Amino acid sequence: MTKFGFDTIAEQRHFLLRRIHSLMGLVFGAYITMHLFVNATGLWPKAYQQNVDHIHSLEPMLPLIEIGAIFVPMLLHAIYGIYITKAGVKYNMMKYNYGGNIRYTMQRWAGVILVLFVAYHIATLHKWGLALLGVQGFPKFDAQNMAYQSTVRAVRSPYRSQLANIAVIFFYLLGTWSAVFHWANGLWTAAIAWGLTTTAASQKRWGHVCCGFGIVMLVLGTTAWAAFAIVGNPDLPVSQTTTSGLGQAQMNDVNGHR
Amino acid sequence: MTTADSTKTPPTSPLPPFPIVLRIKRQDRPDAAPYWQTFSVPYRPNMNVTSVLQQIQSNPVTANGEKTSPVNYDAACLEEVCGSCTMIINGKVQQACSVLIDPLRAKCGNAPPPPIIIEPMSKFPVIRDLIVDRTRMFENLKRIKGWLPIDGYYHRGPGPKVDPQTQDELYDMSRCMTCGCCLEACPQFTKANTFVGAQIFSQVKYFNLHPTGQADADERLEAIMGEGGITDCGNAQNCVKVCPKDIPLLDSIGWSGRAATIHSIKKFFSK
Ligand code: HEM
Ligand code: HEM
Ligand code: SF4
Ligand code: SF4
Ligand code: FES
Repeated sequence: MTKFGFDTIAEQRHFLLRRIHSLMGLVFGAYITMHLFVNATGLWPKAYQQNVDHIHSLEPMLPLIEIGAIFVPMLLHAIYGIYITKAGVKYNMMKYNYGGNIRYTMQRWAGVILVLFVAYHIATLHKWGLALLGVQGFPKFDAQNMAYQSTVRAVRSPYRSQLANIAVIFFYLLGTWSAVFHWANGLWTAAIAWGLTTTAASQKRWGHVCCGFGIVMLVLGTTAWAAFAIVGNPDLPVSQTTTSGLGQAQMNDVNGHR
Repeated sequence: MTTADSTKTPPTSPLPPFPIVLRIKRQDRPDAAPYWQTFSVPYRPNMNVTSVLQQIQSNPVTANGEKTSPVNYDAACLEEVCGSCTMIINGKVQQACSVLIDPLRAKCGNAPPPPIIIEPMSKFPVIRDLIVDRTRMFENLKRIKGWLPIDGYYHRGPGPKVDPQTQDELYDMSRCMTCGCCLEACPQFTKANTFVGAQIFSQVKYFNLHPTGQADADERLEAIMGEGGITDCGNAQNCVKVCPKDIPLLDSIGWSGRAATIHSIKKFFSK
């Protein structure tokens, strides 16, 4: 049988990796909280554009923040998360269908869905996605006065076929809900992992807090989704989303962009 | 209504005397393929699974009348304190000596009750039939020094006093009988990894809270901070649901997480 202990570098690295995974999950969760909050302002196109302008006023630091605070934590967490999901475990939710086991299993399913969703999400709309490879046809996110319209197109109409559009719209809902559950439940398990909640009673109390937080996130996330997928208008005149007063020619230009 | 007076003749019993049918997953040798056999035992009131297995042992004939080898099983205490009779009964891991037949049948009313499905635990190697090899649990107990260091060359006098609150907490954890239910139900504990499971976290807490046990506290803690240790718990919390001794395993897991966090920080800065 293998030996275990904390006296070898390999064992200490294992401990560190698990804790880094947890910490990176929390860092990425903080981003998701802001992300869904900003996206929920998509109900008000002008406010959404202003928020995006705000974020982009961080240029030229923005790429650094994106890499350091979003992409690196996300990749570390996702890659190790997939490993954890497999690491010799044996799911038994059908046999022992207790609440905790259902959450445990859903946490892993949500993780797998999130890998697929985030990969699609970034590949299709981010400047470092497929656009970088010169792949055409996906409505890339356009922060310059077109933030609202380009997001609606990303969530609603990347394809010509109506059926494909519906699939994408629901994939966005599935991705958002998975993120909300995974994040609220992760907040709950992280408190046990780090030793914040050390009794069954405190875990239950903290569970109520996480549940409340999850409901807030659910409302924000679903609002964000609905703002773009349901009420979104991909052809809204730029004059209604920008505060920077464009010339008419430029407006025609961006409106004809589609 | 109750069957308190079991000397009464069966016809006055409120339960219809359908025979007790067990479907048992058997295995002749550790490396042999498992197979299923059905047994039918005449009904008697107040039986438990172990006493049905005893009947099968005294007359090893299957339900269709074939003579077979007796079904092997473990049972040492017959009162849910040794853990040796742990097996999977109707899909749930539990002690054969504490699963009563009558309550299982009471739900069926006047219909013939379905067979009771009996399997050996799935997370430990099968030795024969329902007997499994729980060496992994005992090896893990050795690794965490699951004992109090009281041996010496001279008489050390009386041990330190333990305050009543700590006594209460220790008592809860002291009831662990190494049955392995918590491990059988844990999705993270499998034959394919080295996870130690909830029982070990509870025993580390148990011995580390004891004033005498504290001499080995750091070693015990470090034994559960590597691969297979506390970081590998996925918080499914099945363990606490199936523990027959109601051990507060969630408290032990939370305690271990905090102790590991503190110990790692201490070690980083001062070792
Ligand atoms: C929306 C993005 C994500 C967020 C906000 C997030 C957040 C979290 C948090 C906070 C935890 C708790 C860590 C702990 O219990 O210590 C966690 C756990 C987990 N995450 Fe994520 N995660 C995300 C994406 C992913 C992805 C893409 C995967 C990959 C499959 C994944 C797999 C897991 C797994 C398996 C756990 C359980 C870890 C354990 O209990 O040991 N997560 N996540
Ligand atoms: C309705 C829901 C969502 C909408 C409308 C939406 C919209 C957007 C937009 C417009 C961007 C581009 C930002 C930019 O390039 O500056 C973006 C980036 C991103 N989104 Fe989402 N998103 C949604 C849900 C999610 C969810 C659920 C996740 C994660 C689980 C996620 C993860 C990301 C990541 C990682 C980026 C790249 C980060 C970056 O821009 O630096 N999004 N999203
Ligand atoms: S909480 Fe879950 S993963 Fe952790 S020991 Fe218990 S059953 Fe196993
Ligand atoms: S903690 Fe409970 S379930 Fe686990 S071995 Fe001990 S008594 Fe059995
Ligand atoms: S025989 Fe000891 S617990 Fe069942």
